[in-house]
This record gives sequence, C-alpha cells and structure tokens, in this order.
Amino acid sequence: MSEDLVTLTIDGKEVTVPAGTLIIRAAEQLGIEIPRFCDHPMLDPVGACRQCYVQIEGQPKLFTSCTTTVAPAMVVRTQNTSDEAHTAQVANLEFLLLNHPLDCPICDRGGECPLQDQALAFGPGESRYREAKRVYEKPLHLSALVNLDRERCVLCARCTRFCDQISGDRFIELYARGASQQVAIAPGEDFRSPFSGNTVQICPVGALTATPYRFVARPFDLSTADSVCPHCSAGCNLKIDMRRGEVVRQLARDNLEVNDGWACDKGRFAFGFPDSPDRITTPLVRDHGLEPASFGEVFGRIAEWTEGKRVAFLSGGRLTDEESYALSKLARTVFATNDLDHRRHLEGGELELLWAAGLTGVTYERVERAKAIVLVGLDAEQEVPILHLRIRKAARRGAKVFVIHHRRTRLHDVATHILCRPDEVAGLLAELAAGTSAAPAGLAGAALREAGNDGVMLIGAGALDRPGAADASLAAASATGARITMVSRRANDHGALRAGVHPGLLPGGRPIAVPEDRAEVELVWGQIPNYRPGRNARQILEACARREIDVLFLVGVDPLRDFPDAALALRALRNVPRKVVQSLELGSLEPYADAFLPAAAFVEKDGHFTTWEGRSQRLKPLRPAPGIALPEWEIFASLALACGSDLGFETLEELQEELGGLVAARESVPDWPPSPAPPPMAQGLELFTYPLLVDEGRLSEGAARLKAALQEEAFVEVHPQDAAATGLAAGGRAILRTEAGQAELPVRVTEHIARGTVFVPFNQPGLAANTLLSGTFATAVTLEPAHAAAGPSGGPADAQPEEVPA
Amino acid sequence: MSREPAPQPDVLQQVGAIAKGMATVFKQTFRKDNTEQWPKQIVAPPERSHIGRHLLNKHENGLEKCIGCELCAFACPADAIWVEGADNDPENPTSPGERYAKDYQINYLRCIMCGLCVEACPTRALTLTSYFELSFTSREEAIWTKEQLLEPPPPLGTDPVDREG
Amino acid sequence: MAVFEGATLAEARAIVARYPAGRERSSVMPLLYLGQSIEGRVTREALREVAELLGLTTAEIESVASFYTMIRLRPTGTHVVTVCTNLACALRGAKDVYEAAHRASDIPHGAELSEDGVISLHEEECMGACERAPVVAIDFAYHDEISPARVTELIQALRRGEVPAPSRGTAPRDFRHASRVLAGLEGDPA
Repeated sequence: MSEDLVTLTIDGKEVTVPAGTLIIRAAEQLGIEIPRFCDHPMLDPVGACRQCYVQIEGQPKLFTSCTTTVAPAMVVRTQNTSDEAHTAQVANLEFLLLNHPLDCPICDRGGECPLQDQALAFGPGESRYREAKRVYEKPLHLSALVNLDRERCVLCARCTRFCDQISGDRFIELYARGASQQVAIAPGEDFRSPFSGNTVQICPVGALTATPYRFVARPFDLSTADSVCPHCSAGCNLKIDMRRGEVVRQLARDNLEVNDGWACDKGRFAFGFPDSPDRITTPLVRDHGLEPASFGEVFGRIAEWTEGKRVAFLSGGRLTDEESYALSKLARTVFATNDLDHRRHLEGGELELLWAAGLTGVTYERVERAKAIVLVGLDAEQEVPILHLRIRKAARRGAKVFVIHHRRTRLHDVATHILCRPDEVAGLLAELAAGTSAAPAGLAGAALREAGNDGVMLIGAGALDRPGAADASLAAASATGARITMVSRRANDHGALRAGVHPGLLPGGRPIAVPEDRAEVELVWGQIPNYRPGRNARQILEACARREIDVLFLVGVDPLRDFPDAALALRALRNVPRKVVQSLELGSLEPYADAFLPAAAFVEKDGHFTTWEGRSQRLKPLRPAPGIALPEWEIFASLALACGSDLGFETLEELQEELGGLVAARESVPDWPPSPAPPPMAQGLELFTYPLLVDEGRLSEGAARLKAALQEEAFVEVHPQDAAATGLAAGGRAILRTEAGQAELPVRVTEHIARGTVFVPFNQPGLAANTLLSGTFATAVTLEPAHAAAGPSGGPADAQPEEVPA
Repeated sequence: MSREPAPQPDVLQQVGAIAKGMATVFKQTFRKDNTEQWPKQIVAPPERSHIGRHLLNKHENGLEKCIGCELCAFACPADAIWVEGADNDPENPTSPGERYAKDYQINYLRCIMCGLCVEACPTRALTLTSYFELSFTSREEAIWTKEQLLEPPPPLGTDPVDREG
Repeated sequence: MAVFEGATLAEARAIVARYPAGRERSSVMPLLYLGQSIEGRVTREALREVAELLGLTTAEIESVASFYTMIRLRPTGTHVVTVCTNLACALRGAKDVYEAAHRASDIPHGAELSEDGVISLHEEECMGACERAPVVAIDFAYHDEISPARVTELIQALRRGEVPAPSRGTAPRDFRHASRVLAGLEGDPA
C-alpha cells in the first residue's frame, strides 16, 4: 500500500521515500540530523518535545518534523538552511532546560545523554533564566528497579507511550497539565512490568534510571561489547557494559529482525550469575571430599570410570550450538551411547522433528505480519517475553490472536483466551482444525484458514506434555494452512535439538534409526557404533534409579531442580555410581558429584545460540574465563582424547565447519510414526505448572533488585467454583496433595483459569513444584484448606473472584 | 666540495673572549647559593603554588564536597584516579545531594601533577596542595586512600602522615 | 467496591453501557463525575474502582482526573466557587473579585477550602464567557459581571445555606448535585 513514492527536497537535496514517511525519517536518509527527544522510531509520533521544528515552504508556521508526513514536491528547510527553524530550536532547548537541574555530574545519564549532546550541538550555550528552578522530591522509586527524577524530565512521553503501545503495562502516565505536568504512578502501586527497563533505556534524559546501575559507573568507565541474552530462546541482542571485567549493565541492542530495540527485565538485570560467589573455577574430584584437581587428572579418572561402562548424558538449555554438537558427537562416537537428552518435556513427535530439521519457517517477522496467531500452551510474556511483544505488535496491526491455555496470559487485552483443562487441548485443536463451530476454537480455526499462509501457530513446550497435543497441533496446522513452530523457553533448547542432543535425533534432525539419514552423519563422523535410539531424560533417570547406568554426566543441568519429578531425580542420583557435573557451580548437586568440570559462562565463550525461530546468533568472548574454567566444547574434545578417542576438531572453526554442514536446513524429513495414544487423565482436579519469568532459576542468582521488583512467592491459583467445592478461600492457605508429594500454599482465586485446573508456578520461593510432579508438568491433585492458618471466617462464601468478568 | 677557509681571528680578540668567559665563571662562583637544603632547611613554597599532593575538601558543615562524579578520573591523562560512587544515606549523608564517593584513590606512581583533575572538578572538592613530600616504600603505599586524601597535609618538614591508619 | 455499590454500581454500569463495545473507556469522565457526586470529590478509592470497571489501570484514570480542574482530587467544600482570572476577566478586575471571595469565605492563607468546609475557592482559566467578565461559577453555574461586593454577597448566601440564582439556567443544589448532573444522571441518587 505504501508503494507510492514521494519526492521532496530537504535543505536543497532531493530524496524519494515511500508515502507516509515522516519528514524526520526522510531527513535521516539524507544524513541530515534534526534534533529530537520525543521521537522514537518504534513508537507512534506525538510531537511532545517540539524540538524538531522545520520550515516548510508555503506554510506560515513551523512544523514538527516527527509528526509531519512527506508530500510530493514539499520543500523542507531544517536548522541548517532556515534561520527561523534554527532560532526556534535554540529557543526550545533553552525552554526545555529552564527547570532542568544541573545534576549532570551525578546523573547516571551524564556522558551518554541525548539532552546533553543536543544542548551542546543545537542549544543556546547560555540560559537567560535566572529564577529558582522547580524542585521535586527525588528520586521516586517506581519499583525496586526503576527510579524517577521528575526535575530532569522533559515530558517527551516516551516512557508512557512505551507502556501504552508496546508492553501494554500502563502503570505510568502523565499526570496533571501545564507547568505541573509530570510522569507519575498511582500511589501505592509498583511499576510491575517485566519490560520496565526499556523505559529507562529510551528516556532521552536521566529522568528514569535503573537501580542496579545507580551510581555504579560513568560511560567513560565502561568497555562495551555486543552479545546475546542467555536467558530465554527469544535471543535478544544485548550490549554488555563491563567495568574492570565485571558486568555492570546490559542494554538492548537494536535488531529489527529479533528484538526490535527491547529486552525484558530479566535479560537486562539478571547479569550477576557469572560473577556469583558460588562459581567454581577449578576441576574437582571426590576422594575423601571434593578436592581441586587438574583437568588432566579428572579426565583420567573419568576415562577409568567410563571404560566399558554404561554412560548417559543430561544437558540443559545453556550450551552453545557448538557445545551441544560436541556433546552429541562425544556421547555417540566415544561412549557409544544414545542415552542423551536436553529436554524436560515429553516427546514432541513429528513437530519436534520438523523443528529440529529447521523446517518450521516461523520468524519474528512472520509473527509480526501474521493475520491470525494461535498460541497453544504458551504463556509468552513469562516464557519468551520478546515474542510476547511481537505478538502484541501484530495485534496492533490487526492480527487476530487466540490463546489455548489453562490459564489467562498477559495477552488478555489483545487476544481471545480459550481456557481448557490439560486433557482437553487435543480436542480443542481438533475443533480448531475443523474450523466450523461457532465456539472460540472454531473461530480460531476459521481465522487461521482465512489467513492461510499468514496464519501462525506457536506451540509452547508446555503443550507437548498434554496428551496428543503435539500431533493434534500439527494436524490443525496442515488443515488450516497455517505455519507452525515450537517455542521452547530455555535459551538454546533449539540449538541443542538441532545439534542432536536427543536420544533419537542426530544433528540436523536426522533420526538415528533411519539408515539414509544416519549415513549422512556417518560421512562426517565415521561409523556410529550404536544405532538404537536411546533413552530420553525421564528414561535415563529411571534407568539410573534402577542402577542400569554407571556414569551420569550432568552438563549445565540440575535434575533436582529442573526435572519435573524431584523424587525420581533424587533416586537416580543416589543410585548411579558415578556422577560428573559440568557447570558454573555445584549448587544442590554438591553432595552427589564425583567430579566437577568448570565451564565458561556466556560472556566468556565463543559460539552461537539459536533462537526459537532457528536463527543462530553469535556470542563473543568478552573476557577471559575465571580460574581455569574452559568452554564446554574444549572440555568435551579433551575428554575424548583422554578416553583414547578424538572428536576430530581442535579449533572452534573446525568444529563450526563440521556443524554447519550438518545442521543446514533440510529439504524434508522422513515420516515419523504418530505418538502413542496417551493414558486418559483422571477426572479430578488437574495441577499444571510452568516457570514464571523471574524465578529461583540459577541464572537469576544475585539479581536481588529484579527479584524484589518482579518475583512472586509461590501460590496456588484455583477457579472460584473449584475453590467453593474444596472449601478454599482467597487469601487463605491450601494443602495440595499429589501422587508425588504435598505442599501448603497461599490461595489465589480467579475466574481466569480453566475449571478443574490448578496452577502452581514451577520454581518460585516457597515451593519447588517438581516435588509435586511425576515426570510431566501436569498431574492430578487434591486440595483442602489448611486449618492452621484459616482465613477470617472461611468457607466458600468468601471465595470472591479477584476480578469481575467483563 | 671545498670551502673558503675562515679568516684567522686576531690573537688579542681571543684573549679578550677568554677573560670575559672567566669573569662570568668567577662572578657565579662567589654569588650567594640558591640551593635549598631540604630536608634540613624547609623553605615555604610560594603562596598558591600547587605542586604537591591532592586534598579532598569538605564543606563548613563537615560534609564532603566530593560527589563521586568521576569527572576527575575521566580528565586524568595518567589514569591515576579511581572513584566509586554510591547513594547517600538521606538520614546521614556524606555529601550534599544524592551521590557520594564510596571509594576514592589516587595512585601517586601514576599521577603527573598536571592538575587537570582539579580543573574538571565541578564542586571544587579536589585541589592540589603544596605538600610535595611524598615518599613510598611499596606500590601499595603509593595508592592514597580517600581517608588519607581527606586529611589536610601537615606542615612541610614534619613526618609524612601515617599511611597505615 | 466501596464507592460504587448497590444502586450506584448499577448506575455506573449503565453509564458504561452508553458507549459502544470496545469503547468503554470513553465513559471515564461521567464515571468520575458519578464518583464525585457521591463523595464530594474523587477519592483514591473511586479512581481504583473506575479503573476496575473499565479494565484500565489506576494511573490511566488518575492521569485524566488530574488533567481536568472540574474533577476534584483534594478535599472539597459543599460548594465550589471558581473565579475566572484569565485575560478578559483580569482586565475587568477579577483579581479583586477573587480577593473578596477569599476574604468572604474565611479561607486560611494559602488554602482553598474554608474552615467551615462550605466553600472551595480557586482561580480558573477562561470559562468562555468573556463578554460578561468578570465571571464567577458556583458549582459550575455562571454568575456574570461580578463585582467584589456581589461576590461577597453570593458567598455569604452560600454560607447561610441558600443557593443564589445564577445568571442563566438553574443552580445545582451543591457541588455533588452538579457532579451528578454532569454525569448525565437525572434525579437524586437512590
């Protein structure tokens, strides 16, 4: 629609741009800088700061170039060629600075401040204002993360527009008017948005500052490097600022293909883990206790332990693509085992195979341009926050969004939620595939069908746990013509899968059981000794518990905390004779580890993380690893040598060359048998769980402010009718009993959860929910009120819904 | 290449030149000595001479003038200054305003006494004194801490301040 | 809900229903007036409840409420007297009118509420009746061409419990009544 081009003249130079372009953008194309504060390319124009005045020939007054679109044959004169525009800009800057305090020496923005820079470049040099400046109390704490200094504010409304248009978390607003207009938050409320840090980054002055960076450094102290966020599979591009080798700040880096210019607060503020005091930087081996040793010594011991023995590998989501590949090759060629897995969920069937082979073809851009989006079992805000922002952006552009989940998500203001019990997901997907019913699932199907190629289905890892959901969603996608992809939470789940850290899949999503596919890998690897698909994570732990495994490698994973069956993980660790832990720290594995291999953190290693889309993004080593910690691929390569074998690469470049050939996207995948029919679920209450954004995860360690701002204590969420039936009251406490264990938690009663389901966050302070689970992220549960701390008068009468239904 | 030989000077002229030179030598030899016999003899340096160590000044009410802004560290061409800022406790502030210097160090092995830090200081917290009696026996000792820098220098000629305390 | 309860809640819902689906937020002004008609001003509680009724955040509501001077967020008297001190009125002596009103209402220096709680007085920007300057509004009803003596009479009448007749139309009984009328509601609250 914007194919029409318009030619105009700015400062005597001609430029041709699409119709609808703002003058300020057209000027940028010519390299003409017009000063601005409120203008931001990702926010709607507002014209609040009045700094970007330009003269347009034939118009009696000056125009703000950030709100005026181009017109054919328009003649624009900026401050460079128009005295009038120049005078207006100088006057406006003087005006903006009237009440601006002379805080620059102590302001966190000082030295990288658009107001400072533009006052210097375009300002009057001196102010004629001699009166006392306006004084406000400062700083105001909007949350544990964000501080507001109203004296410095130039009322550009970037922060409030971000909250309104991008995150939808409208906690801050412009209050009052005239000289007393100010950014404010409702008294008693917190800026409880997981995207609050973005307002700090886009503030063109020092009005919004971040507590974790408060007075920590000045811009000239910092060495800055580009990296990628290690927290989730969104793959946000970051700028990492270090002072003397210590990470002190992370900022979002603009990348329109991935994160636009945003990052979530976890990615921004949870940067302390590589500098955690618990970090171990030398290898350890257990003789009498765990004692420091050399790598050579530990490798020698591991080679002894593993010789001719049954070995299994579990990994997490934080290895790079290269490291995952080295692990896959190590396990299969050196230890001749296919017992390796990085997953926590059940089998994903053919959908997972497509994802592993890089054949899903859904990207951020596809999501943004989609006409219909269906999320299944995915709480995007909590699991992949930047994808959540993209979905909101799509919704603003008119996409119809549907969420099939057990609980309402933060997309509630832009999406239709279809709340269902875990065992109903497959049925709803069938209804969606048919697309004929007038129920919401049918409407979602119809919307997808109408959108055709512009329909997108996003399947959360949570949905893979639900009986038949993976197969049903794939069927629904092919019935409606929608594009479909899996979305996994952890940073490099996708990379691990593509590199073949999977019991049945070799690199590039090649099933090990399919001879032609296996042969492609064997061309590079040589003969693979063991053809039989191995055990998945759950089966590995069960085998360990049955003493069928002799050596278990835990690579960047802690099954006691991560695996959805804490009791099984514990039995496994107790019964397997030798445990080798490779990580940044030992944590709860300390009593069990027989050997520890110190790994490099993401700021210390080279490699790639793969986003949920399949986009590989480079990590660069920004500092040397502490102690003698090593990148994990080097550990794997050296271990292979110690075991009398060889992985066949000595440098990362050699590894990458080998890997690149194998994980390149393929033409097609072999047929995959449908998943076996799952056992029917019990009819009682069903508990489900998934991790919230800010939890007790290891990568959030040390991020005290982030946790103070966003972390919640563990709770149990129930539907009012279920609460009434079980005698629970909002604000009271409940005892949950499952097959695996029991817990007592505070109760939240809300209409925004499917009847018959109960939600418990996976890993919040107060409860590690995997103690309640038996292998999947959903399980049958019974509820009863806890009498010790019963509510005021108790009883179902008090079970008020939190919110009134619309 | 040949050059024209220089004309031979007159003998008398040569003798005169020697006498003139020797006169200067004798005049200087018997002039009053200008050397100061430091440390036996302490001569006060000229007033407002800023040739010695730094001083972190305080306001009359006892608050530190330094706000920890690090502009001195930024200005320093020798990278001799380390500052770490922190939030003032509103109940018990160290300096006026929000920020103060939690840590302030000057490494006198690096410092070249150029005074750019003093020029950069927005609050006149940092000044140079005329106390030049700096001596160290270790690298650690050459790094002056905030406590030492806040202490006004003793009169010249007295023992250096106790740097351990 | 504490402010919007029972019949008032029903009235609030009816106000929301005046606007098309998806545009419910347009009802924020009448809802604020409704809250003001109950409590004599808009309290924090009322802001929160309006936000809840409309599915918006408290900040969004307070942003609107703090913009308009007709919405009173501070403690307010039975009657609100506003004196226009914008250009036309100022040229015709509005400042003197304001001073007289201040004295007549017994308002402490720097305050805007009289000690007996009857009168809230504040200066207002242009009220759009420049041809009859200076203008005073009592509970939004206009009194034209007011002199300092006349404003003193008006305020004394208010303090006696009378409601002086405005220059045009009828006078609301008090500020709460005026707010109710502005909310678009007829009759007295149930």
